[in-house]
Amino acid sequence: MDNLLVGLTNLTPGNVVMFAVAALLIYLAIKRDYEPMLLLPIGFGAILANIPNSSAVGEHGFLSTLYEAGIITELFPILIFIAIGAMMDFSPLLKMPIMLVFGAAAQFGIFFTMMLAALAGFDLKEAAAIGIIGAADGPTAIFVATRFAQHFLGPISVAAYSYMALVPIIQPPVIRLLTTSAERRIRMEYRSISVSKTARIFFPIAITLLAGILAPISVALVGSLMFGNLIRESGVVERLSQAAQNELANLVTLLLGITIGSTMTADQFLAPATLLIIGMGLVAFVADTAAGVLFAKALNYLIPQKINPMIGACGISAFPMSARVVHRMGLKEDPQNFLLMNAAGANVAGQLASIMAGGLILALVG
Amino acid sequence: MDVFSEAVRITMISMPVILGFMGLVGIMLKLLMKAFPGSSEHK
Repeated sequence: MDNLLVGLTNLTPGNVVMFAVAALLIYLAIKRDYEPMLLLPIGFGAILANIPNSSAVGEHGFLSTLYEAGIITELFPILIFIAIGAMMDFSPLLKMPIMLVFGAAAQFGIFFTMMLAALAGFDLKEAAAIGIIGAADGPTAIFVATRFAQHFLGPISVAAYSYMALVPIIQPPVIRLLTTSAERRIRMEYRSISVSKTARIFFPIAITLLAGILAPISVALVGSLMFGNLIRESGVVERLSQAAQNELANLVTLLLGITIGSTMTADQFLAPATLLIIGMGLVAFVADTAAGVLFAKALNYLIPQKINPMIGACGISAFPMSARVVHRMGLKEDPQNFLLMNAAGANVAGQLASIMAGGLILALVG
Repeated sequence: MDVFSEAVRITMISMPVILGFMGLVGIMLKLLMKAFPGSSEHK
């Protein structure tokens, strides 16, 4: 009889609070459509992990097995990168290479938050793992957090994916605060150049070589992203490209989410550090946006052709939400101002720069 | 060296490196587009 009641007798207030946290994540996923692909499995994984004596976690638990096989080995984020690479069209960037600089500027939030976390008392590895939330890139955040602060993997992942979903709420007030209405009305030319297939094929190979030689530790991240992109652009392995974009992406996302949820146990998650991490994640996104916008404004003093400073905010890796946000803001100021393609270029650059930032952090902190 | 100073040092190294990397990528893209131009161009 005692064995039947073991779940009830071992239930702690912490477990109940975690059920509420899980319910909130599931609510946000279903009712608010906030990153449902990740927040729904994370929420349910948290429920499974917080049931006392749960057979899903522990020595023979399937979630613990998945954690060992997919997170500790860094396999899941790498596979996700292959899928993302197969989904990404880098042609807006090939048409407008100037957008690359905004991808670089908007990574400042990572380092600003890392310094903030250091001031808050976290050690350097923990601070770096918290700062990487500012990469606005889930797999990079998971990859770095796994290396540097596995005990914070749950809150870091939840913060990264939640704020990516909240980009349409976080970015507009920051952009409005730092720009004038006249600046937001600046129109930008978009040159519709066709990109040759050869250039598209060379791009992933050349990026892998360049990034790999400069920062060999980033090869796993950049290489997997670019491998996915090569599959897409080569045009000769359409089945593989479709499999990466659909089956691989869906399957790994499903397993990644529920596995991360399983790390959100009451004893690890219900700590003051979790609230600090969630708060600093928001700071990271705000600092990314501000840095991108201010960089674009500064650039306008140096180059003859004016850039709409809102484009700078798209340098974060949250693709394509950030580009859509800026496009809508541009249309609101001037119904004839179409910024989408320029914004998409900066947004794709952010994806590349965030991986480079992740690689640098791994090299310099590790 | 304390943690904050180390974080500042990493920031001072990383931001220029990222900017430099993206600059190199930009040059590479320009070269790629010149070497393998698209079939048509219009504004």
